[in-house]
Amino acid sequence: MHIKASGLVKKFNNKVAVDNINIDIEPGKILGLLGPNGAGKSTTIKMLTGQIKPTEGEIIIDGQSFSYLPEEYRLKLGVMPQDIVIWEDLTLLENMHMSASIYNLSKEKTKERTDFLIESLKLQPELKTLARNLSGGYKRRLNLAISIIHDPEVIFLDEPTPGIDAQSRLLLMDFVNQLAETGKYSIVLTDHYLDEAEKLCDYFLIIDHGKIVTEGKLGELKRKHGDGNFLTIDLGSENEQESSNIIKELTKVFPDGKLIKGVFVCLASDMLATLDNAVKIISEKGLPIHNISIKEPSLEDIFLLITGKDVRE
Amino acid sequence: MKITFAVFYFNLMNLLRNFKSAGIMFILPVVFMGVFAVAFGGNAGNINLKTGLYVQPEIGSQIPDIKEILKQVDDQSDSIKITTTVYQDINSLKDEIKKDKLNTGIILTSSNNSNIPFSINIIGKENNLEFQQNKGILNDVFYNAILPDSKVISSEVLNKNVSTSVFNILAPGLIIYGLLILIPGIAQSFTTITEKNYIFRFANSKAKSFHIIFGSILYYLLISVVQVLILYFTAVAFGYKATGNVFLAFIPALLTSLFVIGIGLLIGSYVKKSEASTNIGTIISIIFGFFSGSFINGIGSVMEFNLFNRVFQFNDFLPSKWGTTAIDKILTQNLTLSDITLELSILAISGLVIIAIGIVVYQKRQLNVKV
Repeated sequence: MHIKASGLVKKFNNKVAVDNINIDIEPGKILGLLGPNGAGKSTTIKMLTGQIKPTEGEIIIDGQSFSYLPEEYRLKLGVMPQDIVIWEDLTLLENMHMSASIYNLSKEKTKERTDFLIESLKLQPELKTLARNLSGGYKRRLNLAISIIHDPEVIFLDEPTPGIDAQSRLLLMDFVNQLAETGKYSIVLTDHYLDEAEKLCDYFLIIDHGKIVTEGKLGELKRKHGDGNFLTIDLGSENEQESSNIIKELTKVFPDGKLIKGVFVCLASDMLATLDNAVKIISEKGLPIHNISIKEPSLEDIFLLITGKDVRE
Repeated sequence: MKITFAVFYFNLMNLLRNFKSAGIMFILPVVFMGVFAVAFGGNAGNINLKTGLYVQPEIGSQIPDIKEILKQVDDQSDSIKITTTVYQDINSLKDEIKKDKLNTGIILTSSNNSNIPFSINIIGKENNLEFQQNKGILNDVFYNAILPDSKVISSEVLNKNVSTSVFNILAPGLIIYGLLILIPGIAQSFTTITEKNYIFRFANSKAKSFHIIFGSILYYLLISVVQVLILYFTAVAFGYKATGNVFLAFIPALLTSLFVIGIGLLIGSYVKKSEASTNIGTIISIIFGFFSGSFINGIGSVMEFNLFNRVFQFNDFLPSKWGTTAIDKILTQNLTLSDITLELSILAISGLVIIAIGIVVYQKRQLNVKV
């Protein structure tokens, strides 16, 4: 199933939450849908998964255009919501059976999928534990398992790993990677862990204030927004007046630089010359440097440069 | 069917695994049954005559033995208890009445009228309710006793075989209350589906509103059967004299459950917080219980009005009232289903209509794609 969306707009009481977004969820690929909190990611996912109707725009499925996702296509989607939605008074295994039942899966299919997910997500030790008594990590794993129990073609993972232990996070991401490698599934991932997204996703769409600010594969994004070296200078906040003067000086030398949360960031082409210039400016003013670094920009750095915000803000 | 049973199973597990909190729906009606049995378990007409008798010595030979007459009334009746103390002077008798040791005094003195050999004066405190009640009874007794060929008291009124306890009258209504008290739980379970976002899981699956609702109906019908059995046997244990077939009573009880489920469903469709839906459900169940005859039998004529040349009472429009009537007719009056076709028809139609409305509203408010 190939889902595209064109000109998606969502307004809540005249407040625009999503503004003219175009998305192509390519079959067999992982799309990283990124943005700071309140950027419109979840609203976009809700429109793409048929939970809410777009105010404007169209959803195109296998070339056919709809004003919102028709119900019959919802069964081909697996949506793992941001909040944990599991049947709290059922055991882990009962949760899987309950979920299989509401998709009306056959006995054989239920067994096949349950066995596969228990094995892949390492759920065996807690099968008889009531869902409400599971640890955060197991709850997230179960949340994913019951979202894809019916073996959907397109999987939406809305921030799948917040607040869980590193082991569970790694396990979930490995599992998503395994799914992607089969080439059977299209996956849309929203995540606050950009290092995670960077490793997993084939291409990205970054939105802020409901609008697309950039999109493309990681290499394309780096070429577009991070061509050079990522310089960060943290002057601390002991002498705000002096710091402010230095920032002004730095901005003259590095016109693309930005001050984000008291840290000066910019892209520069020549690593050594850049570092030398920066240190010279600061030394002349006689202020101490808390931290200075220069490196190849990561997805998180690009995100910071584009949105001016930390992804977890 | 698989989806419906999944919802049924989910509800059942929810009850079993939260029995400490959910069990209140079974415990509360049983407690009510017990309280009402203790409070109203005695005979309805249990009239207590603590009488003092003074007979003027001069007329003693001319009158029937009043003490014996009163004793006969007491012997023949389960409902009227009479203790009679004979006094030698009027003042002592009056003193005892003033001290509330007696509620009624009977004073027989000679009459000034030559045609009437004696006069009977019944005395007591005006503000004593028992005295007001006893006065009427004694009037009847003496009227019958002194007229030639009359019976002391009619056997219909004091028939020992018919239980007249208020509890016996209220028990069918209390069984219906056992069903009405399910409303808060039903409302809460439907609200919880939304509150805990289970609706998200349903909405993304093949489940439709009728699966969720029929799964819940199946579950609550099972609960209703259990509830009726528990309450029936509790009532019997507390002295309810049922003469009818309890299994026949399941039919009106289950039809009443449809109405109850429909009300719970409507509350659950509109209210977003489970605590609020529980509270609203509780208030509604108490109001419905009151007007269905669970706590008192019948409502005053102030609630009457005319429609289509017929006098209706306000609660005639409340299906659960017909549930009470039907169960009363089957269990207490030992009537058959053919005697309660009106009640069953009203219950079935109202139950199905409200369930149908509930399905439409629930689908629209909870399962449809939000605009």
